[in-house]
Amino acid sequence: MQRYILRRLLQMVPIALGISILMFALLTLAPGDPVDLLIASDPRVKPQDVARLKRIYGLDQPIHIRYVKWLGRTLRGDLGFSRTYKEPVTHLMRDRIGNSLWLTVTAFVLALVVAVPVGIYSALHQYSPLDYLATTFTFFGVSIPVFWFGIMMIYLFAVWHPWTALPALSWLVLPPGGISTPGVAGGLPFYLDRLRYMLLPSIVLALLSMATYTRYTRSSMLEVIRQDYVRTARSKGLAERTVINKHALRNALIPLVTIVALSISGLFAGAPITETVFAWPGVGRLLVDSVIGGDYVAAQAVLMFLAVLVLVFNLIADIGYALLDPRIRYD
Amino acid sequence: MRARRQWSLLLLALLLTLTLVPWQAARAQQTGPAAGRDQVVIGMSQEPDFLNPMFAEMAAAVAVLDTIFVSDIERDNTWKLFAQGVEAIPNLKDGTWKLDGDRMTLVWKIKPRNWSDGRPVTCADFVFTHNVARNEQVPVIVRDLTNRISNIVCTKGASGTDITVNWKERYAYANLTITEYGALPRHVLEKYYRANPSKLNEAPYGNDPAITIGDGAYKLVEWRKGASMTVEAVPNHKLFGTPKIRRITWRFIPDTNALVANMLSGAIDAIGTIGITFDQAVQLERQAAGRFKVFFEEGLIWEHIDFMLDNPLLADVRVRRAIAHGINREQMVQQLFGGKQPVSHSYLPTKHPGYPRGDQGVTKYPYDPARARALLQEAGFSPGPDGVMRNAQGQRLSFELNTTAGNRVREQVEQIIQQNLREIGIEIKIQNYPARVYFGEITNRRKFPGLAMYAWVMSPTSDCDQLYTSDGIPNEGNGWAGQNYPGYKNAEMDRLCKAASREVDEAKRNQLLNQTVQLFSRDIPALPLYIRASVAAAKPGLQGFTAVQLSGTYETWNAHRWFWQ
Repeated sequence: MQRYILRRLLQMVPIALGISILMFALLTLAPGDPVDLLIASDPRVKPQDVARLKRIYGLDQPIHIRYVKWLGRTLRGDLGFSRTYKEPVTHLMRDRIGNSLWLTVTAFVLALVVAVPVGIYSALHQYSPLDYLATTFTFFGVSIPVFWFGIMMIYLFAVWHPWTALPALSWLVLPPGGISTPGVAGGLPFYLDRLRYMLLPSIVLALLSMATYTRYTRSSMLEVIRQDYVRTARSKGLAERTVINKHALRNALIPLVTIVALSISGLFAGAPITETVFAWPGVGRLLVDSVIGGDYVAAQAVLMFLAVLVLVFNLIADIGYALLDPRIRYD
Repeated sequence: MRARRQWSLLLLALLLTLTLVPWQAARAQQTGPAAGRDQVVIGMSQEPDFLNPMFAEMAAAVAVLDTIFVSDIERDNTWKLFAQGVEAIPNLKDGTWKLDGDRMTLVWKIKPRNWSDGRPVTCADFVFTHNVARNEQVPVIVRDLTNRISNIVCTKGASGTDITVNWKERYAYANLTITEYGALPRHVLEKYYRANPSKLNEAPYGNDPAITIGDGAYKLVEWRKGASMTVEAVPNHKLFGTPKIRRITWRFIPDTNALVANMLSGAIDAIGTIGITFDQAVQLERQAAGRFKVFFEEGLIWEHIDFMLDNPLLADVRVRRAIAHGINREQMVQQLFGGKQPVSHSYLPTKHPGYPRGDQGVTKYPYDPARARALLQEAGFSPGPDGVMRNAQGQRLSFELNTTAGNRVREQVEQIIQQNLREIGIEIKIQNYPARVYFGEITNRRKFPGLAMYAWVMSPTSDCDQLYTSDGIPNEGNGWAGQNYPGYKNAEMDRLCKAASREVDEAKRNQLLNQTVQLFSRDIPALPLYIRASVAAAKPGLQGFTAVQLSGTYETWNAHRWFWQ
């Protein structure tokens, strides 16, 4: 196992290098150099200004030299300075990753807490009214576009909120976007305020994964409860609760664990659409904004960070799979 | 059993906390009375990049900078100039603006005021800022005025308020600003500048509220990146007194639908001109009659179609005029914009001081398909078997029309144009590009084969130098500089545009510009479509807030005079 992990770690180096070359080339060779675009948007910018700025930013050098310099800096932990945000990218990433984690982890936990019990119940009571309800819900969950659902939630909870006629429910008016109320400082009020802002985006974000996890749990459970060892456990006279919890569920959750492990890298990547709709300053929005704004330094850093995360969590998922399922052995 | 009860109690306690605390907060948010309030929350779809005027590139940054810095000369919402940070606007009559051959000298006196840390604003701050902008190593983007100025002299010492600016060349708008970037606090910035001039744009000044000080009516107190920014009134400001609105917060909401939803929910009090689209403003006006004032202000953004004059078919002015007569622009603006964005007739918007009053001498091209067909016939075109006009050499009148992909309004306009021109025998093939490619490759390198639709953002000081002069045609030799994308060449236009950009007498300059407008409308190197309206919205109780569409001036220009009623 150790040899396997070491081999995989060594393999990650050329893969990460390959990704970095491809990413750097694609971003750099895309039409519309950010400095060139300045001249097109502002008549006061002269060719000599463009030449001067390119010299200052090192954009006048050939692409391979720029790549080597960028790689050197990145390996030393200097991710560069963002032209759009006028901030070191490391600061930007630190704040944005924190914000994205708030949102995505909440959504992730919410999705799992709802999806696993619903999936199990659905499987154990197949074709019951609740099963139909759950499968219909998952169907909607995977079909509804996130941006539309987000806007609808904003209208419902922040604009329309018909339930406010009942004073007891007036707290259910939620902020339509943003991350916190300006001016609210640290401590408990800060966290409670953050919680209110997080409710809508995390529900929207949870919906899709909730539907997916419910489907996985349901189908996996359905498959497992028909296995011989479950029948054997029942025939031994074990209580139904023990059969389900100890024999069926443990095996049924193996595929779900793999999917969950793989999706952890996505937690750091944020959720571009949800973050944009709810004005949540996360990594996903940073990536979208920096690509649109031609801020290659920030875009490169975010993309590289995400690529490395995917590689690492793939490895973790593989290891986790082996630990959970004794039938799997890596050499 | 006991454990279960404990869990239930814990859950209940958690639910109660979650219910009661947000309820109080929600109540507080909803019940805040408008009158007497001392805060304003403005929604913006963009976030400022930086709050150092020398490096700020985004319009959103300028909107905020208007509150934390004093302008030397400012324009009000009627475009009238007034002296804000200086005692008077230099002029030729009283000798504060002197001409000496090609050179000029302007004499300024700044109004005494302090930086928000209490230190006085002095001539030395202006000199320092100008010298920083001049330094080749500093990554300041625009140095248009800086390069025209030879030097600045503090006539009554560095700590005084008297400034003399000597210009190397004549420049028509030299009395609108002392120098390109005004004054920045030397006592704060100098150490960063001395340490590394090429990284001055990475200094915390402009980013960190603790040291980003200005001389305006407000000071920056909080910037939550990606979320919000807050400025707070400077009490007893020497120029503005104590503003009634104590705090202004901008919330950055990139999705414009969500921005509208925020306005409807009451979470924000106003949306500035960098916010919602025209369509959304119309919708907001309809949805929330009485709850908000929605402003439509005819602005300076000019939507037009460039003709590629290297294309031999379009080089013939009769074909260009036929296209102009063949498109029903009046019906287009009525149908798409309810007439709120008027048809334009030349390159300057009608509100521009250089536009001839009453459209005098401006050639107009009303919708007239018969006239269009007659012009095409005169140019040697006759209908082919497929209904498309062709000339004696068999060349079909078929053009590619390019614009930015994904822009719904422009796509609707394209369809109307395609349909209109088909009726007079001109075929239009639509080919759109993502904005980056379109502006980074197609328009600025003159790669569009026929028609290119986009907008120019004009300002009250815009003229036609570089825009329609032959030295403004981008090519490899000049590093693709200049904005004359159609490739328009006219010696008379060159002469008039160059003269206008150097003419210091406003009346004479406007006369020259009038002539360029008339000439342009006659030669029609680009087809004027319409003037975009800028839109904004505010709760009716917010007094003094108006929509402004001026490059460099945003609705915050008079924030110190806002109040709630």
